[in-house]
Amino acid sequence: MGLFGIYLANGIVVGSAYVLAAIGLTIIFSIMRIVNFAHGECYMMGAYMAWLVVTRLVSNFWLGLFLAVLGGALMGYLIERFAFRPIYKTPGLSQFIISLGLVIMLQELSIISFTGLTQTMPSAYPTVRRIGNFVITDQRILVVGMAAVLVVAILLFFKRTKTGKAMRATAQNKLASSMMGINASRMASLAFLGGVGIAAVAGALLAPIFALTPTMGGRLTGLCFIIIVIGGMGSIGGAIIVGYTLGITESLFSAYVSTKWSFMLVFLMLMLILKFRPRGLFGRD
Amino acid sequence: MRSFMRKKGFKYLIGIAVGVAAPFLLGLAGTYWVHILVIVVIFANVAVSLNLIMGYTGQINLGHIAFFGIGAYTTALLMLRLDVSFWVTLVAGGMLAVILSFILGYISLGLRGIYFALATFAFLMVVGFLLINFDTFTGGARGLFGIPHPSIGGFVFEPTNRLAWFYLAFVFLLFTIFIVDRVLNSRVGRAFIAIREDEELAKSTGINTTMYKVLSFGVSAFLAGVAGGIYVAYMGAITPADCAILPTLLVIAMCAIGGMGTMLGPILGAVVVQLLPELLRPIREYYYFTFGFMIVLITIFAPEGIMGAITSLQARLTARGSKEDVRV
Repeated sequence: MGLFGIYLANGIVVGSAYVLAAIGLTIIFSIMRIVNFAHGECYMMGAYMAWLVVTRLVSNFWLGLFLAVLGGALMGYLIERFAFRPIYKTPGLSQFIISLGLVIMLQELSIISFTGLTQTMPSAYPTVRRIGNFVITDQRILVVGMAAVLVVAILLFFKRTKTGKAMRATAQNKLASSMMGINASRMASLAFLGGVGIAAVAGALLAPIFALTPTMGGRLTGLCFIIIVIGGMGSIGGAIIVGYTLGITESLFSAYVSTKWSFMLVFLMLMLILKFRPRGLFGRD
Repeated sequence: MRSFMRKKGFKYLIGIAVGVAAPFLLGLAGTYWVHILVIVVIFANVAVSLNLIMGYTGQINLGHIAFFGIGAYTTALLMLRLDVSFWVTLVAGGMLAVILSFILGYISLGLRGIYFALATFAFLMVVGFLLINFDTFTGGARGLFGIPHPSIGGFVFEPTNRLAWFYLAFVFLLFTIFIVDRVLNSRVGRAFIAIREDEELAKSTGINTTMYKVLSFGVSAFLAGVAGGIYVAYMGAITPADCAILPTLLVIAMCAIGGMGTMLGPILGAVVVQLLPELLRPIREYYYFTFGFMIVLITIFAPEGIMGAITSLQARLTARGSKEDVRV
C-alpha cells in the first residue's frame, strides 16, 4: 500500500505540471487557432528562470516562482506581438515554421545564458512527512496544492470575470465578438501572456523536483498535445481530467509494467483517438 | 506545348549544369563545403518528396522524417547484420517506408488541418519510440554506427570521397524530381490540385480522393526512405534524434522558405536551411540562435518563400496586370 501510495502521489505531482502546461496550450489554441510547438520550451524557460533566481540571486523559492511567472508572461507577450501577430493572415504552415524558429531560439538562449549542463535546484521544503509507510516531501505537497489553486483560479477567471468571458467569446467566434466591441488583438496578447505564463509556472513549480536541461521541453510539448487532443481541443475541463489521468497512469504504468513502453503507448492512443474520435473524449464539435 | 517542353528541358539542363559544377566551385573553399553540399542534396530529396504531399495537397505532414528514418535504419541494419548489398537495401528501405505510409494513411486520411498534423506527429513519435525501445536491434538511443561503405563494380564509396557521394545524391535528386514531376503532370497531379482546392467537389466529380492520397503518400515515402538510406551510408551512423521532431520541422522549413508547391522551392530551401548555420559559424555560440531568429524573420517577411518573393518581385518589375494575375 505504501509503495502504491507513493506512485500515485508521484503521478499527481507530474499530472499537476501536465494540467497547468496543457491549459496554457489550450488557451492559446482556442483563442488563436495556433499550435505552438515551442510551448515546452516556454515551460523550460520558466524552470530556468526560477533556478536562476534561487541559486544565483536570493535563495527564496517564492520570489523565484513570482519572477518566473512575470518573465513567462512577458515572454508570451513578446512572442505573440513579434513572432505570431505578423503571420495571422498567411497560410497555416507559417505558424509551424515560426514555432520551429522559437524552439531553436529558446533552447539556444538557455544554453547561452544558463550553460547547456544539467542543473538541479535545491528544494525549499525538503521536510519528509510519513503517514504509516507512505512518504512525501513538503515540496511535492506544495506543487500539488499550488497547481490545484491555480486551476481553480483559472476556471473562475473564465467563468466570472469580464475579461475571461471576453476571451471565451473570442474563442467561440472572433468576428461576432469583435462586433460586440471585444478587441481581438488584445485578447490574442492576453491569451499568449496567460498561456505562456502558466507554462512558466508549471516549469518553476517542478524545477526543485526534476533536473533541468535545455531540451527538457520537447517531451512536454508532445504530452500537452496528447492532453488537449484527448481532452478536446480548447476544452479546459478536458485538459484537467486528462492531464491528471495521464500523470497518474504514466506513474503507475512505469512502476508496475514498463517505463520504456509507456510513452509509445500514449502516442499510439493519440493516433487511435484521432482516427476514431477526432474531437476528443470531452470535446464538442 | 512543344515550346513549353523545350523550356522545361532547358531548365533541367541549367539545373544539371549547376549541380555538376557546384562541388568544384565550393570545393575551392575546402572539402568541408563539399560535405555540406552532400547533406544539402540529400535533404533536398527529402524536402522535394515532402512537397509532393504538403505543397500540392495543402496538408501539413509532420511524419515525413519517420520515412527517412525507416529507410536509414533498414539500410543500416541490412548492411550491418546481413551484409546485403547497399543498392538492394536502398530499395528495401524505400519499400518498407511505403508499407508504413499505408498505416499513416489509414490513420490520417479522414483528418484535416491541425488534426492531420497532430496524427502525423503522433506517428513520428511512435516510430521514434520504436527505434529507441527495440534497443537490442536498433542500438537504442545511441543508434547504429560503423555502417560499411557501399561499392559498385570495384569502386568503393569512401566517405572521404565527397565528390562521389555528391554525384550519387545528385543523381538521386534528379530521379526524385523526375518522379515528382511525372506524378504532378499527369491525371494524378491534376487530381491533387482538385483535392487541394475543394475536396468535396473533387469527390463529386468522380475523383477517388482516397486512392490519390494513398498513392501520393506512398510515392513520397519511398523517395524519403531511399534518401534516408543514402544519408546513413554516407554518414556511417544514425541515431533516433536524426529522425525526430527537430529535423522534421527543419525539412518543413525548407519547403516553406523555398516556396511550397514549386519544384525549385524546396531545393533552394534546403540550400538556405543547411548553409545558413554554416555561414553564421563565425559568430560562435550565437550562430544557432541567430539561425532560429532568421527562420522567424524569413517566415514573417516572405511567407510564400523565396519563389513567392521572386514571383511578386517579377510582378512589380514588369508591372503589367495585377499581382494576382501573375501569381496564377
